[in-house]
Amino acid sequence: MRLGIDIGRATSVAVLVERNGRVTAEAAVPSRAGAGASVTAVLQALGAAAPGCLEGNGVEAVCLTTDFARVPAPLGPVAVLRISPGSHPALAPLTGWPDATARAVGGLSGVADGGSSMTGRQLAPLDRDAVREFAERAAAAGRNAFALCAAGAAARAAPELTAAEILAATVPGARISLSHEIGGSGLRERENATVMNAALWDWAETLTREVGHALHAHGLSAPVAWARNDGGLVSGEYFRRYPVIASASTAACALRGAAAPAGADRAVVVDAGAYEVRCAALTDGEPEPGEAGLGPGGVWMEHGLPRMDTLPKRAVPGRDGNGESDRGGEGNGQGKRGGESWNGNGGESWSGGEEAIGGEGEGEGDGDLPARVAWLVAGVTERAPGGALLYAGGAARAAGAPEAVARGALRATAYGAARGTTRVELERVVVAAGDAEFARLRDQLCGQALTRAVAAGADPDSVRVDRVTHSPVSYLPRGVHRVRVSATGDPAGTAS
Amino acid sequence: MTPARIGPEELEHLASGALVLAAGAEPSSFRTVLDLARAAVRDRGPVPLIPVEGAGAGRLCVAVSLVGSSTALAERLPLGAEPVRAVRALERRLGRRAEALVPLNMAAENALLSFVCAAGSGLPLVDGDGCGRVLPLLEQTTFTLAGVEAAPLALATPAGDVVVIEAAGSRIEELVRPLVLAAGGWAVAACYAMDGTALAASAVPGTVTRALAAGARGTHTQLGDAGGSNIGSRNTGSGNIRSRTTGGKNTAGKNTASRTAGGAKAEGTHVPATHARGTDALFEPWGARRLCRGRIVGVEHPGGGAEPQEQPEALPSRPTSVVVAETEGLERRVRLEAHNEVLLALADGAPVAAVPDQILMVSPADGRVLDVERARPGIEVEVVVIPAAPAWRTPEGRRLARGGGLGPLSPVAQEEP
Repeated sequence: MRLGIDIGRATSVAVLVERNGRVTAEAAVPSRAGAGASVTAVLQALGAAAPGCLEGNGVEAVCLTTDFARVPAPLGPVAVLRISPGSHPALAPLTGWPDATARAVGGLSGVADGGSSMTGRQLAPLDRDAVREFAERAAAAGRNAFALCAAGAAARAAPELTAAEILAATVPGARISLSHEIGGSGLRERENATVMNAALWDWAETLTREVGHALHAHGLSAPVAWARNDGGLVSGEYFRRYPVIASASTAACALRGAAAPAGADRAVVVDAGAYEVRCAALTDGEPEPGEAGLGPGGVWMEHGLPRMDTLPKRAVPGRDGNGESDRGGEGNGQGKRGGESWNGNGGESWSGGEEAIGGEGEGEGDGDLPARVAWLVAGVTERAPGGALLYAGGAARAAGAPEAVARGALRATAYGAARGTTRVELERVVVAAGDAEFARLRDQLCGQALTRAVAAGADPDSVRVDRVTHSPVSYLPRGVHRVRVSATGDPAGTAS
Repeated sequence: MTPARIGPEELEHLASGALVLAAGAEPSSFRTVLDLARAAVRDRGPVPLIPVEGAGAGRLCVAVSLVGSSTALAERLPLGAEPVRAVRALERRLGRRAEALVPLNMAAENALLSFVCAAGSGLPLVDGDGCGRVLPLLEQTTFTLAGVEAAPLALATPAGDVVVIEAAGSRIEELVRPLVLAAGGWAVAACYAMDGTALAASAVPGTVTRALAAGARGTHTQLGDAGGSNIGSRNTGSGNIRSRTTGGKNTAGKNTASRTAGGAKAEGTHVPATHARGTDALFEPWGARRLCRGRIVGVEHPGGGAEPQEQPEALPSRPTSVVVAETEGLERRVRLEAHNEVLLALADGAPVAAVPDQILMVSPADGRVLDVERARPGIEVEVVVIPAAPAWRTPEGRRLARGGGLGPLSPVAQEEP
């Protein structure tokens, strides 16, 4: 049995799920401020609903969702070093960041010459002295969290690894976030994600500790898995190292959790949470991948979330057809947000709305919510047709779900986490002269992905490569490919 | 009506509009160049925009373009000085100062780099370009058709290198490509130096204004500026460079009356008919006509699909046929024959559109151009045809647009030992 726990913004939900997918117990309580307190409360409720259900060794794994924006947590200070030839000042590290986020992260950044082109060719030799000087400057400022991002790191990781050695030798106890491990195309997006990864270390540390205590207090000693933004699972250890990949996993879990019991390979899922309604499509059981966008702290990055359409406050084209229809969420944006921003700094909120769904609205009323949701669904259905319409979230009824469906919708997110598989992704640019060399490099990457999956908590006997995609990079010579490998397995201890 | 200048607000419109024709633009690269352009307009002020005939006789005009890989640009970031350096190098070679700049085409980064160049050099930007649509090779321009040579051509790389190619005959693409590669994968080219009169005779006029208009009206493009405006509080998981039309119903597009909420039904839920999400507003400035609206029912790769890595460089796609079943009107079967771009559209077997016109599949849900590579059965699309500039309709124009007019340039020929 697996225990899935979704610590939502309004409601915390726990479900016990058997290996065959059957739910044996479930409970929901209002979320508390602390993650540990929320877990404690929902486990008490679960124990009350199904006495003795958590006793013995029946629970093989505890799977939890994450939502950095749920309760503002301070970002840790990070020293940011880019390894690249110079560029325009408007493109420097940390530029374009919301002020508050940049302040929280500390604004300490530097650029050292070095890095590679997309073909793996060296752009400049690594300026080791500059790296050392930067490390000393950061140490003098009391930093020991570092983010390193080299140009062309996806094609050649060596400059980042060498610089990391220098940092580690110069700053004892340095923790280093490396961009080639985070992945992503586009230096700036990858750098931003690498920096935020380091800035989230404290948050992940606190979260795993609090939740760990709460689980122990209930006698649960099963391995803990955390859901990634794409709905896969990783171990606590992996999560603490790469928190940025698992900073908002509720959405993907909701999608998977709604689709799994329905056995739907193709589906359009309405996720009606307490504060917003999101809609996304699944094809072959996988959510449609999203593109770069605003991640934690309002920072632009590839965050790995599914592609979601979100219902703007007054989204449905007005009956006056005034053309303002589809932009409700933006407008000027000011004054539209409450305390739901990623780090409580009033910066960009990733997903925060403040108008409770199904509540009174602001005099405008939400009586037309089902119509607005239908409009949202129509848009998603156009690009992903042919699937069943499914619901997740506590406000599913208000969003138009039939009564019977809405009951199951409340637990969808926790259920999605509980049914997840351990998953890691690896992305590299490879340069291969011919098919044989390409095949060799691809196999090498698959091997690395498998190793990583085990490191992320997958049972070694069950781990497998489930997806390899590769595409040539346009306007570069043949043989330059971007390769993405996804490896997956059952969480350790749950393999059948 | 050409506006007099492009300031910060117009720049945002230009950016949105420049994405309309650019299927598969690299988002990171586009954002990078947009940030450069924003910095340029902040530091240097607005850029004057002049009509194609505005440069006048005796004045030197120069075309500006990104060459190489935009993926490389997103990784090896620009200094920002590359466009001006390229123009200055060309000026040194010619012994004359340039007096106006013209974009080579209006696709994504190209429109913005021309703007960066104009802002940086203090020169006006010509309201037109050498393409009127988007074609991949440097010579595929209306300038070539009018007999203007691309060379001398100056390349400026992000490493600070400047290379001038004096005369290249028809080998310009083969010469430029390895140079660009050696420079890290991308560079900015200044080329097609010509007199203002020649420019007026050969450029496709008004294309900057078209992009501005498309960007200003009815479209809302999420350009993802984390620092400034606050787009992204929604839809953040759903894409950045993402044009969404709003209320196509209200625009003066020809086709609007016939196309309200076709297909906007989900699971029997009633959606008011006025809630159409059309693409008219977006494409209206290009004089686009809508060929059909329908659902992709088949995607085929005739001739056996070669693995992508076996494809010629620079043209990574393979021949593809997309079959669209019209969901309204005559319920025709529209077959799109594509290789890199859609070359031909057949409705129930009869040709209804062909290159040199640009045939685009557009997602009606969000106004995005759907890459041929991403076409999948089941997806709802509108097929939109943007008429090519008259120069492309001549026999020479058709040949050049197909890339077949210049033997050595043919990508297949490049593969031969």
